[in-house]
Amino acid sequence: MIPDSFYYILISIMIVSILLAWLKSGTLFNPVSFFILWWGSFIFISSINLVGIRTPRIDTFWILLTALALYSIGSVTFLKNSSSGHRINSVLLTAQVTGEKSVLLKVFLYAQIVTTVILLVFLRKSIGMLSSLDAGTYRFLVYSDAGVFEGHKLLLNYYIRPSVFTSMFITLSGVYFSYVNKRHLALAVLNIFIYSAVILGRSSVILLIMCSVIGVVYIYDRGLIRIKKRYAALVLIPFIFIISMSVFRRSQYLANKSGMEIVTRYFIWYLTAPFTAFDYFLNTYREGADYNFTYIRSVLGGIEEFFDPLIKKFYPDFSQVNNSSYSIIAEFRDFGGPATHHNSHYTMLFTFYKDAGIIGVALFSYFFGAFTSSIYNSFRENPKLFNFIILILLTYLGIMGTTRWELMFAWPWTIIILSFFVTKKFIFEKKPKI
Amino acid sequence: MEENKITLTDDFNIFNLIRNVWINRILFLAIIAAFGIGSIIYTLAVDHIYEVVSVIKPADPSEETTLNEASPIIGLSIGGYSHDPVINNILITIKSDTFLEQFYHKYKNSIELFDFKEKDYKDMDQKLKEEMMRHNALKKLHKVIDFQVNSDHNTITISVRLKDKYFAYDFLNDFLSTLKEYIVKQNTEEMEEDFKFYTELSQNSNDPIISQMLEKKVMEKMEKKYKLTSNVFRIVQKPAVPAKRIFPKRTMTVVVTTMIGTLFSFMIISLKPVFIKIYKMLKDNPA
Repeated sequence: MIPDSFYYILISIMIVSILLAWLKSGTLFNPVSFFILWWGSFIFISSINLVGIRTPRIDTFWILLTALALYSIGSVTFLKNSSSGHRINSVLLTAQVTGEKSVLLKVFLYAQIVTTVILLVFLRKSIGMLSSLDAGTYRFLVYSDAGVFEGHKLLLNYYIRPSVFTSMFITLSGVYFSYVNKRHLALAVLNIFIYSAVILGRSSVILLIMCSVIGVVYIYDRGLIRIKKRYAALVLIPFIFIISMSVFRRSQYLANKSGMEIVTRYFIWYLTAPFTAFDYFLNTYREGADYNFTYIRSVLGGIEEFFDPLIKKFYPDFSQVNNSSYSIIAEFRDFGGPATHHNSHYTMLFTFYKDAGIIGVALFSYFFGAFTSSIYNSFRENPKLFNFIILILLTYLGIMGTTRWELMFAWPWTIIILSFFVTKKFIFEKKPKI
Repeated sequence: MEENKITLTDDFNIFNLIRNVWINRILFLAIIAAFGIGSIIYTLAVDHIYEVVSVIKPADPSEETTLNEASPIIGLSIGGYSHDPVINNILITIKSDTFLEQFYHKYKNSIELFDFKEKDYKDMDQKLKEEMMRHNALKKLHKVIDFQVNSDHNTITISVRLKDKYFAYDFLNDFLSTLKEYIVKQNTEEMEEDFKFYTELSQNSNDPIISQMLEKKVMEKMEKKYKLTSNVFRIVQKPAVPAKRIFPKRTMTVVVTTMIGTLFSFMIISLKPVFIKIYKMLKDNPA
């Protein structure tokens, strides 16, 4: 039973946060607006039970609103006043070394081609496996020892995945800044699609779409780019890809539904079921009995995951913190709605809560907002590839925090580290004249 | 090498913020105090709520039977947590107004549960008053009774939250026994209907093989249904009178609210120059 007061508070938080962030930053295109609009919308959809998923309890909604408010407070506090920001003229942002003249850039291009070749090998293998397995089973097994990456887990975790994602971020940002040729981006996008086809997962394509849109909005707001209408059509390609994959994977469960209906219902289900899952966690698992607080280890779990093979060389009994989370979230559960089962996605607040309860939810949301704002300030003050990549990544992580906290996995950390090195090695920028 | 440098003074404005906090320390402390004192007053003024909990284990799913083949789908469509028809049957019952209405009639006059106020119904005729009272009572019951399925262990946790902990204890005990009786009664009725249906079908059939098959089927269903009728669920955790209230959690509320107040106060201090600027703009350009 959701009281009316919940909706009044939700709308008030949304309006006040967007208004204050706008007053502080001088633009509506800031991380607070994106975060609040996305989270607020899906919290609202979740509360009205649109696709038959069990509605979370009001106590869970209050926790969601606390996180929303604390993110906004943290973000607004540290957003820089618009009057102190400098307007950057795009003409000043020219690279000293661009395009094919850079040897290192060629190395970067060849590394992507190597990735494409490796992915094609796995794609061939996956097509073979799909002839004997149905799509659902294939997807279920994909990261297991019986999956397509059987015997090549290290290659997947330490080369394929970091290389696919990092090259996508760097080339995407590079193209927006006119540092990198568009064909580099085409190759990076091709790799994303092949990777997505191999794992039969949409998350990487969703990452591509979301980051492209977020990047365009930020850079458009800074006056560094003009949007041509014909480029908007390009966004449709990944959407068609996602629709096809969703229909392919779910058609056996929803045979009498149209493709568009499956996607609409599945999209809403996918982004609101985590609230129900979080509610399930809060009401089923008790701290001290079923799990113990992990004090920041879960939030930074991706670092442990990254170094896990190395640590195990010295401490064979080491168990990374994510294992304790998997025991809760890996179980397939039915929350109702168009999809039959749900796992892994318990919102980012699950990770925050597992670290330090309600205080963890409040503090981590606050610091996440504050840190995102600091990167946003840095980008507005002095737009560079690195701060732009991190800004896109953090905005994406905040928005997709409605599903899960991605920093508990290694891949965002590899993007941060690799982007740091690659942008510093490849791109030599002039300091903007202010 | 300048590219990746993030300086705290420029980007986080921490030093500026601390300086501003010191300048506006009275405002800063006043906001924190407002949050802190407000939360204390709230936790003292608000009604205490006690929760009585019971855990039930439904009958073994392998022994279940459902004569209505659609019931698992019905269970899914209303958004339960389980595919298990026995659990879903219990969930559907707990959620149904028809079942809950029994408690409305039974506890109509209990102020610990419903506390109907005459002034809310004073301008209504008797029929409308009855309808409104039923509506409000069911709303209250849905709010007071909560349940949670633990799909790892196939158990259902049922809880009752009320101001009077002794009443809540008695109510939950009554709720569990009524639930059991209600489901048994429904299953028995279904069983009789099915028996009638299959017997008629068997009698009307001219083919002795089909007749034999139908009789066998009805016997199987009867046997399973009988098991389910005699064993709907067992109580794993009996209700007990709670020693402590569940709401408000005073210490936690005050700590979290004061912490949020502090962070909110930082934000207000950081926004003060913006508000002053807007105020000056409005003052200079009143039109």
